Amino acid sequence: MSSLFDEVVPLGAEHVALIEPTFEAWRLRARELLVQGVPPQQVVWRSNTAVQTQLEYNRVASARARGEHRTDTAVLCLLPVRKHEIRGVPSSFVKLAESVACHADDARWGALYQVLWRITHGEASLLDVVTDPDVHRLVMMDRAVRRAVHKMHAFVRFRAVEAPVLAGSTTLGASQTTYIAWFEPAHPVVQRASGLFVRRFASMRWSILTPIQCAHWDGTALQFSPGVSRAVAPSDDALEELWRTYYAHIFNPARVSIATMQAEMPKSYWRNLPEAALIDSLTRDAPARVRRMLSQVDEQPATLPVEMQSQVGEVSIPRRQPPVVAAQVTRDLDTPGAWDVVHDPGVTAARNRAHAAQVQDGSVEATTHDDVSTVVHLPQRAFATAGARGDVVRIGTASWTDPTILQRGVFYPDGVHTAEHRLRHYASLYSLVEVDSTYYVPPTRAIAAAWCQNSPDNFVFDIKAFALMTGHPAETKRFPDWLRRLIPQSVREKSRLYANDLSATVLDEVWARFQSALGPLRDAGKLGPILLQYPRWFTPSRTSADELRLARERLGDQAAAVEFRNPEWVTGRIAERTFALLEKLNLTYVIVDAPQGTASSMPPIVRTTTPHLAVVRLHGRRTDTWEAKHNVVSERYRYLYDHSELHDWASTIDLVKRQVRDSWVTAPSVNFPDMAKAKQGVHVVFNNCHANYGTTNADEITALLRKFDRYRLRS
Amino acid sequence: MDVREKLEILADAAKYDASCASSGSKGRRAGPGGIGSTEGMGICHSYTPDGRCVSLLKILLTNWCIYDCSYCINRRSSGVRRARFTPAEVVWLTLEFYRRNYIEGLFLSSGIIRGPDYTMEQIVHVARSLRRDHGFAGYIHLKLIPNAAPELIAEAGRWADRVSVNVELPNQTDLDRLAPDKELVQIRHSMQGVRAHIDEAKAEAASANKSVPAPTDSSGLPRFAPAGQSTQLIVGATAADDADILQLASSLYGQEKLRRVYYSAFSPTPDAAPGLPPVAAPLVREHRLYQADWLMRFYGFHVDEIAPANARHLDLNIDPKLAWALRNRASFPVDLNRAPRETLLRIPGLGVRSVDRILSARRWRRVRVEDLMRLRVPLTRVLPFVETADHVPRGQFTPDHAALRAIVAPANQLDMFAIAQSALHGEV
Repeated sequence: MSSLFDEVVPLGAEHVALIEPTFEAWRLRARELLVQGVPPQQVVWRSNTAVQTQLEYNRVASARARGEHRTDTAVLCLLPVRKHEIRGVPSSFVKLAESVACHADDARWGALYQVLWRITHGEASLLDVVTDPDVHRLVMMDRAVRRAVHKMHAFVRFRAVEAPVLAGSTTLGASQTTYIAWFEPAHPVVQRASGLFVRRFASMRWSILTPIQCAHWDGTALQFSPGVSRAVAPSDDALEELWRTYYAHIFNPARVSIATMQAEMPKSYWRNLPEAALIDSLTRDAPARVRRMLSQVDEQPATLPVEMQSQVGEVSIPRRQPPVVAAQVTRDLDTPGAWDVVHDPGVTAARNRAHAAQVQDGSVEATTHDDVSTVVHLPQRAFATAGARGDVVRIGTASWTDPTILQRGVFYPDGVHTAEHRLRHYASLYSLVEVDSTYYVPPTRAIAAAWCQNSPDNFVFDIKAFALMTGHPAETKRFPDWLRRLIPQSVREKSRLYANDLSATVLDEVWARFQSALGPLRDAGKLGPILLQYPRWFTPSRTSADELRLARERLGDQAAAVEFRNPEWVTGRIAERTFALLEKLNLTYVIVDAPQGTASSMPPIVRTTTPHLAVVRLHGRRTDTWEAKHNVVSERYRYLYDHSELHDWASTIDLVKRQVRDSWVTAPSVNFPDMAKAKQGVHVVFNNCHANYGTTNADEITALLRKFDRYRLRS
Repeated sequence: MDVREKLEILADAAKYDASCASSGSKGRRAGPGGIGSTEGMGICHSYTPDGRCVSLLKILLTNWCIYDCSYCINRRSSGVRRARFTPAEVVWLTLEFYRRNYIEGLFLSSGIIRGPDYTMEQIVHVARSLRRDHGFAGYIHLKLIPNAAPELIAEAGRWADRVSVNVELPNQTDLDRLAPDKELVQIRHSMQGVRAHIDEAKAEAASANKSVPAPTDSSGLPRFAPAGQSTQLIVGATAADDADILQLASSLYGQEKLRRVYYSAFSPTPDAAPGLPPVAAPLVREHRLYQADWLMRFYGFHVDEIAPANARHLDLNIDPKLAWALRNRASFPVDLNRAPRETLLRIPGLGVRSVDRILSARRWRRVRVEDLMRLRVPLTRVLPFVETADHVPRGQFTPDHAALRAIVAPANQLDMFAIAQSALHGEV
């Protein structure tokens, strides 16, 4: 303590105010000085302890913690004894000063007096000016003290002991559990912080030991005693093991942020926190844990114990995701597309989605098989049969033989190798397919008969018109013999021919043969509409309208649907004329979902032009490859609709369905002498036939539509 | 299986729920022989290396579940380890942890077993035992099971400080996809039920002094969930954009009077379900949503201003207030010495506290740039938008200068610290 007076007193200072380091002592001395009119610059404030600065405080505190205990005056920060105001000093200052007095830095006394002086000398509202440097200094000190108090509330850890360890605390009963904590506060705030512990742990006996000052609660009264060394405090508690267990498991290794943790829980506190011992290992192992977490192969879910099983009375379908079979699938098909992992997630992810949709729908039962093909391809999930109220929505894909869907592990079970078996398999799952091969090569009766034979009664084929029928170029080398013979000499050398290259008579023949080849399907009631998909250059014009009229003429009674690839048909005033024309010709307008933003992009306009039939074709939304001259066709359709896109379409289809259904009631079917079931309802065709994307979306939208139906039934 | 092993499993199972980030409630003290208190502000008793606060014992009663929500780690079809606490074990753990000052209280959720009513009953049982048998006055947050019986919900609210039902996903489409057993309508219906209870309890407490005493707990607080209700939304598990999320949040604050909506960036869980993205959503998106949330609640912004039709996703590079200011440059510069509080609150870089300090200081003297420095506001961001006694924006630092965005929002490093803190204080 003698060292204090060795220091040089600053020039101009006339008073050395040596005080107990308490708010009350400062207040008494400050009042005296104020009364005497001593300005702040003439006072040097000193605490009558060895502790003056924050650094020194830390040093003393840690020395005492180690047991190097000296008997000089403890740094005490007493709570105010009574309210006693100097005239003109706002209570907000007193409150601030009480807090600042608990700061470890001896400069606090001078800082307080400085502000007090200004408040009492004409600046009564000084505290409101938080931007003032003097006020700012107090504010910062106050903040540090609050923080120290707060951290003490947070980081004190009690340890339960059966006998009192603290000599001199006579009130502690020997047989009762006492909770003892060792803590090292950043500022001398023990008294200031103890209120919370009294409120919170009123019925417990506890002591908080610190190097500077200790607090004791015996259930009725709070007492303080001088600081002690750490050795006095208990060293363990059995519960800490459980606490560490909790700490380790509530931590999410995917989100490590050490800086944040340290900002709120500075290292200086760690040595007294039982859980802090884990920080290093948790941090070190975090990346490995994340990797493990993500690569974890799904284990067999445990069976829900009987006593926990659903007792609500609803049917509880045992559910299970199919095992991952990625190894079977070619890497390219199972790698999510870099362009968009959501819409190109790979075969396995798509399959899992389809399965989830069906499980949710209840159309797939649990199975104990691990073979995915049996899991996914249970029959009876087709959504085909007319419901009680006569709705028919048929859902299928465009073609069932794209090279990418034929690959092993994608869609067809092992052992399904022949064309016949594939169709049988497909037709056992869906109620509709659109045949696209007829666009390249006109069908034959034999093929149509085979299709007929390998599909169930209620199955429907929509047939895409041969390229020449809709103004597209067709490859001569794939022409059937009868057609090749009809090619005029002048163009026989060309590898691709257009309708213009052929005479009307030849084209009549093409249309007629095309239709007659489909006879077996028609006879069996399995023939849906013929799809006339016109090219981009088929623009709205008188010629085009004539072309459509001619098509209707050539088709006779055959149902047909028209898909445009030129948005002008449905733009502005032309739109209504288009729809009127289609209505008049009894041609079904094909509702389209396609990539937007290209010259051939059709807007997704929903319109029905025939009373009993609507056709929706979904091409995916792969804008980047839509118009590209891609070598592989299915790349254009490498797009898996996400759930919200499907949801939108499901709602739309649901509406269209009701429209179409209503028309059955209102419109007599006289206009359609050949009307078969196959030509009724809503046909939804997924043309995003890359691998299992089309079938996946078909499954998902089926589940959605069924869900809508269930809701309606319920309400 | 011993308690420790159960604790491992059931803490693991609970860690993805962020809907309990705060544990502040109305002040309350235990009665004679009881234990515990709640303070206005919750205390974070520890921090894990992910920077998150450990305030409550956050566990599931069980992670067995009869449902199969694909975003959820505890879904029926997941291969995680399963465990089930008895209510008595949870009560014991809570009390022992609490006595040692490890926690502020309990956050209890559960997988659904047998059915909603049975599960809710188990949860309520724990809270009832803590409050009634042990006089526990610490914080209790209970998860409500949406379809549970109204009497059980009412009892839960009687024991708990806060109750919550997690919406998880912002629209029914997303729920259908990932949580087929959840119905948004049903959840909001539950929330409205809770809100009615809270309103009723408040009204009774308010009229109590006039006539007969209203039902309150021992400390005189209204008996129903004094800390209100909260919910959690998972961000980035589906294609829903920020406008969708904020619209829902805004409507939850407005109609169901939720106290807090928590946003949790989707992070892939072990044994992840199909249909979920394989990557975590950027934390910064969560951070921006919290900032936007704060703007709606404390800064007088409407959701349409924060996420208008032409910017349905929040800008990840700049905070939403700055983004708004750059879209509405004509509103600036603002005179710090004259503008009303609501206008000051719209200045980028100024938080509620800074604004209130400026208001307080300017009653006595004109605010200058050095004052702003002392308030530690980010000057680069603030100065182009304000006028002070000694400053007028000039040159490229004027609000309508084309290069302003580049100046106020340099290609900054993401402030991970701020991000981790944003659930606690989304100051912007």
